[in-house]
Amino acid sequence: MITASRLRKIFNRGAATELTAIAGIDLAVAAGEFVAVIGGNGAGKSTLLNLLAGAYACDEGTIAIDGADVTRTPEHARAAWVARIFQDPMLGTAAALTVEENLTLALMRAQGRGLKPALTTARRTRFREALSGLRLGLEERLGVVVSTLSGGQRQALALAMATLTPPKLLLLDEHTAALDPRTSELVMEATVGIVAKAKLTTLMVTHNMEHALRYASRIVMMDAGRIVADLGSTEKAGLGVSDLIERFRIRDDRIVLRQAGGA
Amino acid sequence: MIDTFINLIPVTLVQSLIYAFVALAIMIPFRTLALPDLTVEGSLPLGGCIAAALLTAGVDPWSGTGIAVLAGAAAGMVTALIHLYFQVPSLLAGILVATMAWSVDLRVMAMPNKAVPAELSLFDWLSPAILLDIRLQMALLGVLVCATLLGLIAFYRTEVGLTLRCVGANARLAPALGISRRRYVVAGFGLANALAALGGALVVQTQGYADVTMGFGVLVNGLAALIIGEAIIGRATIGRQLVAPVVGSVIYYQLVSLGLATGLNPSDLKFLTGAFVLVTLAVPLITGRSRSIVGT
Repeated sequence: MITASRLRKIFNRGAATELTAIAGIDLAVAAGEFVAVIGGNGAGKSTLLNLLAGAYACDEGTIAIDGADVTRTPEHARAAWVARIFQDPMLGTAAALTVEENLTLALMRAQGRGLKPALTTARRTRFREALSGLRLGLEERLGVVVSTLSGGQRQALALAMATLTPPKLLLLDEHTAALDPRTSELVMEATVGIVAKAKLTTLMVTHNMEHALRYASRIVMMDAGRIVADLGSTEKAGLGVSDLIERFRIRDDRIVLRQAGGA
Repeated sequence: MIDTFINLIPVTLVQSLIYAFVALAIMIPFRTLALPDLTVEGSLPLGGCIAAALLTAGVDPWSGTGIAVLAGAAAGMVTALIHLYFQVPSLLAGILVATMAWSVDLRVMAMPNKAVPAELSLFDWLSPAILLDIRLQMALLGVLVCATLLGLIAFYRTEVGLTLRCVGANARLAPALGISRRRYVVAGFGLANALAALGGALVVQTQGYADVTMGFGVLVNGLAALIIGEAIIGRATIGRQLVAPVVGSVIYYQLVSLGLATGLNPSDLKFLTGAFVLVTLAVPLITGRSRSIVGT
């Protein structure tokens, strides 16, 4: 259970460029919920994710994970519970390190670190199992340096890294937006498979209305730093992509207009 | 002329093995943390001067050298803290610390240079024969450098060592993976400058004196050594990355010795070394190869 209460975030406070990115958000996400966060450019979606991850400190309000107040917990300490995949495939992996080294770093996110050898046979076996589920052949390329992988492979690796130890909250920040359509679908399907299997509590920022409708159990719509609509599974059941865009007058040139089944 | 060079090979080798610690100290922040650090210009003389002051004051050579190493580590950590908490660029933070270390050196020694009699040194403590026999010095320092290298390679293969590399490889990813970047930058800078101070303490005990100016130019020398070593050994794996500065140091000081033996004016050396580093920085850009040797 993730709870955010009365969250506010103001950038450049007091300057001419002052910007209220989050203007009072209350959000409770139950364990196992898959929430899609949609909204136009500048609505505050990514800022919300950054606040939940601890990358930004909030100006007001509180954030709790399973009842524990983490509002003042820095990002690196919050990472024991929160995993994250970035939009940019370059950000979510360490390019100069190998696939297995990246996975080891991800494994230590929850376990902590000591002066033990980083790479062990037992860990390699575990990594192969985690990667084989992605069906990209990465399990045969554990020793390969990540900079030689394609964007899709890197994003798949980032997915494996984020879910190797099931986090209490998985944050997806448009994690398929930088990929070509086919790879985007592959990574999305892999994500949904893992999320469903491990029943992960997930918050996904997306511009792809079809993904939001098809995969999420709940859709949260943001505008000007506020939540303007919150649709549960029953409310979103009869909606199509065009309904969403029409109903909420989404001003966003990046929205994917591809329609699902002619809806 | 060439005879002079050949006769000097053992002496130069001893010198280069000691400066291998300095080349390692430059490589560690630069390559494994992706943060350039200039503190070595201060931590090397700091280690040397503190060792000289303590040894001549009657402290045993093990404690004297150990305290010198700790002082170097402290200097590196101060640089890292200035960089992290006051958001001063790491190079400027290093210049600040190196400059301030100069005054500390003068205070500690109470004079700009100090003789350290051979019988007070670590080498003499081990065996009085060492400082009289260049082959013993080569063997001893060779073993010491190899042991340090093996220790560092083992360290970089541990969980903590891998985490340090992650901080350098992707600073934005590190906190998302639960890594406190500050902690690792402070530790890395401390480790590097402990090695530089060890180099300084060993220089003082082989050459028999400490001088507050002994750090001048060591950064560029070490950088040149690192560039040569990486050109030969490469840096594809952490093992190669760690061996490169050592091999580079050995070759660089022999090249310098060869140059001096064949009539190179010693006062031109810093210019030539600087020009060499500059050329290796510029060539990849001029020829359009995107992978610059010193990163972006």
